[in-house]
This record gives sequence, C-alpha cells and structure tokens, in this order.
Amino acid sequence: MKTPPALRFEGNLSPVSTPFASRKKAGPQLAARVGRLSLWSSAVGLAVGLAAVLGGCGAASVPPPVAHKAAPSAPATPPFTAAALDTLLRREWESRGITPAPRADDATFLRRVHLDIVGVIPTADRVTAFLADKTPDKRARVIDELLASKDYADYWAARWEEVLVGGARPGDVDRLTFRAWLREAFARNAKWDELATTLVTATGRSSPGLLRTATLAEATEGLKVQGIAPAVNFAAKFRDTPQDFAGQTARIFLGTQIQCAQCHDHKTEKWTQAEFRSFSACFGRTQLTVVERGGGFGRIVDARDLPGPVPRFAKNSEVAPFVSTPPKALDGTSMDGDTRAKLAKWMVTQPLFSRAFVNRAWGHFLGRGFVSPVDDMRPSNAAEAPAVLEALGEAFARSGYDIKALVRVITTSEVYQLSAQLGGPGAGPFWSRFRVTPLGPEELVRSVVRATALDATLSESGAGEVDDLHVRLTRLFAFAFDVDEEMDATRYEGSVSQALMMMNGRLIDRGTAGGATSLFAALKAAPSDEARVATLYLRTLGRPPRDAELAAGVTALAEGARGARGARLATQPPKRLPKGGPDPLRGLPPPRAADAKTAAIEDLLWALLNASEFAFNH
Amino acid sequence: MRRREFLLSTLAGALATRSARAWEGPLPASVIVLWMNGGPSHLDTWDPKSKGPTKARRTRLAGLEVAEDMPLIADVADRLCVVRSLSSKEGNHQRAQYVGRTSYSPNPTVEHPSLGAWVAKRLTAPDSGLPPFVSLGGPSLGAGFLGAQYGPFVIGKAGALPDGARPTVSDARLARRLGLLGSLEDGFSEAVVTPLVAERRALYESARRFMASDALAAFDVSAESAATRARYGATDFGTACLTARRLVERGVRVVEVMLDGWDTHEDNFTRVKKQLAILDPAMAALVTDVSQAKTGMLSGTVILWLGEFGRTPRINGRDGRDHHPKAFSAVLSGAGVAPGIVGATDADGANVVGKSVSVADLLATVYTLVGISPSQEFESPSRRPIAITDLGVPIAAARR
Repeated sequence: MKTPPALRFEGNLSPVSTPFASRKKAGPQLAARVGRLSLWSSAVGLAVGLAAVLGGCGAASVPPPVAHKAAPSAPATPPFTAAALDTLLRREWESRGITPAPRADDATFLRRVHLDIVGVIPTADRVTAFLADKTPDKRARVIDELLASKDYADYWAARWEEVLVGGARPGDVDRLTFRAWLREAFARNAKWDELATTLVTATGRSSPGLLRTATLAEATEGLKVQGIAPAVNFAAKFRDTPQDFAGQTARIFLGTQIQCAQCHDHKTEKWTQAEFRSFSACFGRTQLTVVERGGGFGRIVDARDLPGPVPRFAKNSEVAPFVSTPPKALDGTSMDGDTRAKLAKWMVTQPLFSRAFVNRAWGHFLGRGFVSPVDDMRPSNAAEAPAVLEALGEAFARSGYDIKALVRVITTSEVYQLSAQLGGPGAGPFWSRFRVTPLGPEELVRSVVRATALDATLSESGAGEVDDLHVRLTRLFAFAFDVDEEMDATRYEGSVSQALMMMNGRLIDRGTAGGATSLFAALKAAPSDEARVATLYLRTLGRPPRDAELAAGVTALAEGARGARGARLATQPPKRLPKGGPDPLRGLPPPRAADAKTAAIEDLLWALLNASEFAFNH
Repeated sequence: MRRREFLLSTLAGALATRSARAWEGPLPASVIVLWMNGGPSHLDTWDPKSKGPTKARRTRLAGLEVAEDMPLIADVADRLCVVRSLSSKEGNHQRAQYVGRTSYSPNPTVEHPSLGAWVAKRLTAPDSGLPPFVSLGGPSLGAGFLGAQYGPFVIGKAGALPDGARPTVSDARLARRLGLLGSLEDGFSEAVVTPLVAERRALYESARRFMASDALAAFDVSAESAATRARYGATDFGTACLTARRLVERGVRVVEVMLDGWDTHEDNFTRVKKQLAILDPAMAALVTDVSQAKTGMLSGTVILWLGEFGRTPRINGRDGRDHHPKAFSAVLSGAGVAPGIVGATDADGANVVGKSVSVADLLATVYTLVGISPSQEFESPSRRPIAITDLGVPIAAARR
C-alpha cells in the first residue's frame, strides 16, 4: 500500500497528487493518525516547538501531553514548529541557490504582524515600547498579545465574513449577525473543523430580526435569541441555487473549484459534470424558507433538511439536474441519509480540508499561497513548495485545526520575518523576500482611523462605537477598493477613484483636519517640532523618522508656520453616498479653519497617510 | 465546441478589416450604454401589441411602431436598430444585471469583466486626464478579473463635479502636500523591491492630472446652452445623457447611464408613462447628436439601450407586469449601426418568433462595432481562457 501522503514530514514526501483520502485506505490511515495524535496533540506539540525555537529548550522538559483518544505507545514525531517550517523552506532555497533577504527590523516586523493578525497598524506607544524592549522573545510575545486581543477576533471575523458571504444580495443575508457570530467564534479560538461543520450543516433561523441601524453590540446581544443559528446565513446566500452552495463549499473549505463542470465536461479539468451534480445533490435537500420579510435588513430564513430534494428545486428546470441525482461526496462516497452532516464529516477529514485553510493562511501572511489563487488547488495548478504545504497542512490537522496555533507557527517563522528589501542576487522566489502587498479596505480604514485618532475623537464626542465606525467606513471604502484579495497581486490594482478618495475623500480630510481632534491637541502640546514630526511618523508609518526625514519634516513645519497660507477651503458639503447610506463619519466634530502652524502639520500628516509606505504591508 | 470553431473562422475574416482600423490610432470608437434598471416592459416601449393596453405610434422607420408616449424617439427612429427577439434565461435582477453587463451568467469561480471594462482595456486610453469608463447614476459593474483600473469611475448624480475631484485645500497647500509625498515615495522606492510602488505613483499622477484637467469641465453641463439642456430634458437622466455626450467628446471610451424604476410589478402603465417622459427627450437628443456628429469622438459612438429583461404579457392583480426574460427588446444606434428591426415576438409578445438573439449576441455586436473581437480569449487569474463574450455572434443585420 502507498504511504499516506503528508503524515510524516521528516521523510520523503509524495507530491500533492491524491487530493482525497481513499475510502479503502481509511482504516489503517486513521489508526496511524490517531496514534500520532497522542503525542503531538495540538497545543502542546506546537507550544513545545515554539519553546524550542525561541528558548532552545527541548521537548524533554515538557510535561506529557494531555490525554487524547489514542494508544500511549505510538512512536514520536517531532512537533511541527516554526523551526521545522524554516528548515523545509531553507531546503527549497538551498537546492535552488536562492539567498533569502535579511531579517526585517523590529519596527517593520511590528507593523507587519499587526496588519496581518489584527488588521491595523500599531499605536505609536506600542512602537516606542517595542523598540525599547531588549528581551530576546519580544517578537513571540507580541504575537501572543495580538492573538489574545479583541482586535484579532474583529479582524478575522471581518475577513471571513467577506470570504463566506461577500457579494450576497442585500437582504438575503444578515451580515451583522453573521459578523457578530464569527467574532465570538474567533475570540474563543473555535477550531476550524468545528466552524466549517457548523457553516455547512446549520439549521434554524438566520437572524433575530435586527433594525437597519443596529450596532454590532446589538447584534452580539441578538445571538442569544432562542432558535437563532447565525451560520445559516452562509446557506442563505444560496437560497435559490444549491449548486452554488455546493460550489462555494468546495471552493472555500476544500480549495477546489468544481463549478467549471456545472455546464459541461472540460478536457483539462478534473471534475466531471456527473461528479458536480452528485456533490450538488448533497445541498439540494436543505430547504431555506423565508419566515419574515422586510423590516430592518431584509429577510429572515429558516433552514431545515428534508429527506429528499426540496420540491421547489426539483420543479425548477434550471436547478433540478443538480439536486435529483443521489448525493455523493467528491470521492464518490454516498451521502444518502443525514446528508449534510455526513458530508461535513467527510469534508473535515480530507487532507485538502486542512491544506485549503493552510494555503489561504499562507497567502494571507506571505502574500502568495503555495497554490495561487488560494482557492484553486488542482493537479494542473501545481503548488510551489508542495512539501511545505503538505507538512503544514498535516500539522494543522494534527493540532485539531487550531487556528491560533497555526498563526503562531507562521508568524514566528524566519520566512515570515524576512525583509522586503533585496537580500542578494536571485532573491524573491519561494518567499525568500517578504512580498509587498497593498492594504485592503478593511486594513486601510482601521489604520487611518487609528493613525488619526478618529476613534478617540469619536468616543470623546460620545457619538458611537468605533466598531460600528469601522463597519460603516469599510462599506464605503470597499465600494471603491473593490479588489479581489484572494488574488496574487503582482500589479497594483488601483483606480483613479481610489486615489481621489485617499487624496480628497472625507475620511482623510476629517482625519487630517486640525481643530477638535485629540490628535491635534496632543501635537500642539508637544514640546518641539522634532517631537511633532516623530509622533506623526510613529503614528502613521510605525517607525521613528530617519535623520534626513526628521530634518525635512521640521523644515516643513517651520516654513509652513511662516507662510500665511493656512486657510482651508470651505468644508465640502455632504456628498451623496452609494445607495444613499448615512454619513459614515456622523457624530464627529466638524473640522475648523487652521492656523498656519496647524496647516503645516495637516499637510505632513496628509502626505504620510497617502504614502506608499502607509498603503502597503511590507 | 463546433459552434465556437465556426464562429472563430467566420469572425476572423469579418473582423480583420475593422480591427486593423481600430488599432491604427485614436479612432473614434466609444460606447454609451443606457441601462434601464429594473427590466423595462418591452410591450409598453419597443414592441407594443395591437391587442395590448398600450397604444402604438408609427415612427420614421418603416414598419416600426413604438409606444405612443415615445414621440421624440419615434421621430429619430430611422437611426435605430430595434432588436425584438432578445431572449435570456435569467429572470432574477442581480443575475440578469450581470448577464446584461458581461454576457455571462454569474459563476462564483470567476468575476467576468463588464463591457465597459473590456472596452476600457482594449481601446487605447484617452490622453485627457479623464478615466476611460464612467458610470453615471448607478454603480454599474466592476472590471472583474481585469482589475480596478478598468472599473467604472462612478458618479452618483450627474451635472456637477464628481466627489473628490477637487482638492480640499488651496493649490499652494496641495503643491506642498504633493512635494512632501514625493520625498516619502522616493525614500520608500529605494527601501523595498517591488514594481507596485511605481505603479501606485503613476496612479496618483493620473489622479493629479484628473484634478487639474480641463476635461473635468465635461461634467459641468451648465456650459451647454439652455436650449440644449432643454432638449435632453430637465431630469437627472437627461443631464446624465448630456454629460455622457460631453465625456465622449473629450475621449472617454465608455459611459453607462442608468435610468432606474422599470421594475413595474405594480401600476405598470402609470409608471412606464413616467419613465418614458424621462427617457423620450434624453434618448432622442442623444441619438440625434451622435448621428449628426461628422468628426471627432462622438462620430464613432455606439449607443446601446438595454435592461435586465422584459415584462410578462399577463397583467397581474396589481395592474403590474412581472419579469419576463424569454422575449424582450434592446436598441442599438450610432456608428456602423444599420437601422431596422431585428426579429419579432408572437401576438402576445410572450415568445420570440423564429431565431432568438442572446444577450451575448447583442454585446458581441457592440464589441464588433467598436473594433473589438468578441471571441478573443484572455486568461483569467486561475489561468483559464475566458472569451470577451459568452459565445456571442454579432447580429449581421444590425451592422452596416
């Protein structure tokens, strides 16, 4: 029998060629896996590894893992750690004669890890404290600190809301309830297999019926309502199209695009139309009934599973072909009976389930997945460094699909901490230099709000919660910054509208406007122009200014103060928003006319916020 | 498969001449899409039936009758090609809007670029500082996998300068800001290795040029005479159509103008009457101005009138008509368009009689008219070949 792929990472690895675990081999393979689980159970194994990397202590000093459902005599496999990850990548580089870039400096690392784990740049105070910290494990500690923060759950909920229900018709999905639910799930570090299972199998009501003006706090309160199953919103997106429910499930959770086979077979594609239909049939028994219409956000649906195809689908000639065949998993296993539950169970034990998540996470942190686009894993779209993908996927599965543990392994690794600067000849491929990527709307909005202290200004004026400000602003920005974040961005995908929004739009205009904001109060109170320039750099770029920059900044502030050109143009009247939404900046005090000194500070802040160094993760 | 091969071979010849011309220089070629959001009733506009409640009126085009509330359009109908045999499968607004813009049915694995995005990409960009693709009155649809730079420059309400088109500070302060920004960009370009920074700087330069451009005056219709503005009608849509003309004259390649309000499930007849009062002067004026242009960018303009679908012959209990994708109408006018009627529906207007025309065929016609091959394939990000239209065959009778 062939060695099951990706179960051991220290030996020779078979290429990614068997996408699904064979049913016939399931017995022994499962036994082997359970055996290893005993010793290398998630948190402990990864923690051991981390300790080993950072403190040089070996596994021996670690207490035996907590009991897992397995035999105590199973052979030891080294834990998958950041160090193991680096070893694998170094092998890729050495075999190709690639010299990796040097390690990124502390400020660059701090900014990067903030943007990637919590979706926002660090505060000026955090930067200062981090740079002053001389302890050797400070990078690992900041990662733990970020993973434990509320911002982590906020950001990952926002990202996954976009992946799961982005592009849903307004009114079909209660995004706020869904966001609130995801936020709770990431906050308690729900395991990925559990989350995926809930998303694929949920039954119940999609929403408690929120008002259009509801806040995230109210949505979180709404999660307690009896009979509410927020995960149903994923299914609700596909209320009329079970074939899309199937296609998106395969794409998101298995990183596999089967939908090309919807219309007909393709010579070059793996999946046949018959396979697609059998898989779709797994989703054709879920009835999504509208139980309440209108009101605040739109419809409330109730999801329930029927023993056979939903009559509404079976009667519709467009949909019928996708629901009328016997339901099967992609490897042909019959899913008859408790269909969605069986399917979820099958899905979360596939190697591809683990690899799909790992690949997406790799793309998020390293700028490009092993397979790109991150959700298109197929034989004809070969993985870069498949051995690393398999090993990481295997480790993620072994950890019990522990998302925070995976994030910790990736972000503590050397490869993640490489500089974006040129290291030597040939640097670049195989993640040997950090990839510069543009911030998405989510990160950009959060970072502008933090840099300009609009959050503090907002809470001081008592006008609302910063969480809701983020939601409103991101909607506005996402409209102009409509980028596909699952793509491997080799070109800067910008539009003139985006640039205008950053140059003249309301967020930047308000954020840079001196006057009532707490930021400008602090800047004015600063002892010198040097201190002002340093603060502006720390707040925006997350680093102190270099000598030349400091000198230029001081000159700019001094010259600006001498010039009589301080007057602002009249504040622009409120402009029409897409879909007539309310002003996302409502509640903020209006900007005031600036004196010459304030104007000079405003201009430097504007330049920093518009700089590429601010707009990119690097 | 065989259909596709056939298409490729016939099109290759047909397109050779036109394409060659299109790429030689700044050939006047542009598209104005009048997007009728909601799904306009074909029966109460372009395809009235003798037994239906909407009275028909004769037009300047022999054999063509349109709804009686379209007098000004009827008067320029000899410059129109009315396609009455359009047929589609998508009866849902969002899906049909996607088909109407891209020619493809929505598919979660690929985001197809819209017609506007393809035209913006395939025809050389104007050197006016204006974006190549402008959407007036609605969000339109993005550029899909082509990237945001080919997406629409969206203006919610036409008639004045778009949001963010002007700096919020004096010119002197803007110059100071851009100077500070330039130094920051120089420093960062040296620090990291990526082409993205240079590309982003080029974009900012485009935005700066846009802000300073004389062509921005195109958005301000107050420069037009009162008589001209009156011809287009004192409505948002009329103003948008006039703005579209002004934009095209200054080199914008595609403008989509949206007229919302066609989803007449209730009070169909009162509401269509109101819609036509807006549409009639605006469209008639635009058709006239395009057809009279002898030189310049406007002379190469193709106008496309289209919505999601038609409406049912059956009148529902609320005096409304429901969605009807099986048979509906679209209209072409402008450069290269042969006036006439394409296809027909049965006595009720429920079904197409004879050969039907797909949305892909209609869009393929538009592409062909501006010198773009509708069957040309491009690689999607997942490296799958995607043709500009979904097997669209240009309507031979619609072209001169």
